[in-house]
Amino acid sequence: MTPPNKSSFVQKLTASAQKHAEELFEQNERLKSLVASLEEKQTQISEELSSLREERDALRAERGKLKHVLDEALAQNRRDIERSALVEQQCTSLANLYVATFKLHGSLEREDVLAAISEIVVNLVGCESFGVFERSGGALRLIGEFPSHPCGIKEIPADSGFVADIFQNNGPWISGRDPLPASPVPQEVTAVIPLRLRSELTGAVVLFSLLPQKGGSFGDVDIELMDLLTAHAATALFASRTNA
Amino acid sequence: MSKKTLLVVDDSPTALMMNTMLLGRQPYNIVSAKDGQEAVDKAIASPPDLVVMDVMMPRMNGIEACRALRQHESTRLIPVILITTRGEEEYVAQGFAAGCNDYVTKPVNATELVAKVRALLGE
Repeated sequence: MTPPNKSSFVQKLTASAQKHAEELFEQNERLKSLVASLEEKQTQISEELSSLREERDALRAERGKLKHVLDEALAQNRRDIERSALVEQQCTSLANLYVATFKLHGSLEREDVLAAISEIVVNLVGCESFGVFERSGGALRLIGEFPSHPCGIKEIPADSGFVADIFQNNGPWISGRDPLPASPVPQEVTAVIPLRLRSELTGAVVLFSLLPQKGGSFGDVDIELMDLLTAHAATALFASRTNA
Repeated sequence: MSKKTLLVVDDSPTALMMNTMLLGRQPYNIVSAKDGQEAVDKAIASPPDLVVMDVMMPRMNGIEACRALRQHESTRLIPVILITTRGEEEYVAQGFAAGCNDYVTKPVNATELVAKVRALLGE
């Protein structure tokens, strides 16, 4: 076997090194190109990102505006619902008053008038026990009760006593809401509606117990109905007595 | 679309007028009856979409009328709302046992009644 020639070995090594250097150079060129392309892409992405950020900020601002509009619309809607409920309540109150007036003056028959008073007190006010008293001389005498009142009062003095006191104060009087009259009021009495014709006391509707679902209190419409009864029940009873 | 028909039943002319006025403000045809028997007869002759009926009535009360409606083929599915004077459980239970769908207590709260009518009519 011939020993390797030293010069040939160096030549081979040089050629190999040169080839390797060329490959490295090519790889370096490719990497440079790749870096340049990536840098270009990064610039492009940065621009896109910046544009998206601007768009996002604009959308955020738009969302804020829309939220404000929505909040205003919801607040308006709430106000409309409240107003609608109020109008509905007023319509119901007016309907109550209309029906009560219509029924009180719908007949001159005494029984019909008493029935109308009873129906108003039971169905519209929500009272389950009461008595209707009418003036006869110096006393208010029981002329109707529903279903039967618990304290058994058949007669109340017309010119003195709790009804007369309440009448002087331009009743109606409601227990727990109004100050107690000077004369003692029977414990069972929940409210008193004095009946007034011109400036005279002609009778009274004395309420004893309310329906349980009323929760022991009267609403605005109940007070309006009581005010209506004060004047119109008195007139209706007077007219029915005149007609009899 | 044709208006739905409500049969409103009460022996008290005042309550009947009031309930008719309250429900008449809505887009419904209102038919009335003054006791349970008349209500059953009218419902069978011309079935309404819903019945609003008082409990305490002469001749046939609301509970009996509700039971009668449930027994008749043409009226057994008609929704019934009872108007009770007392809202305690025992009174309400009687109504449900007779087949009523819902109830309101006196004095009638218009908003509550209309909401219940609408719910039962699927509005």
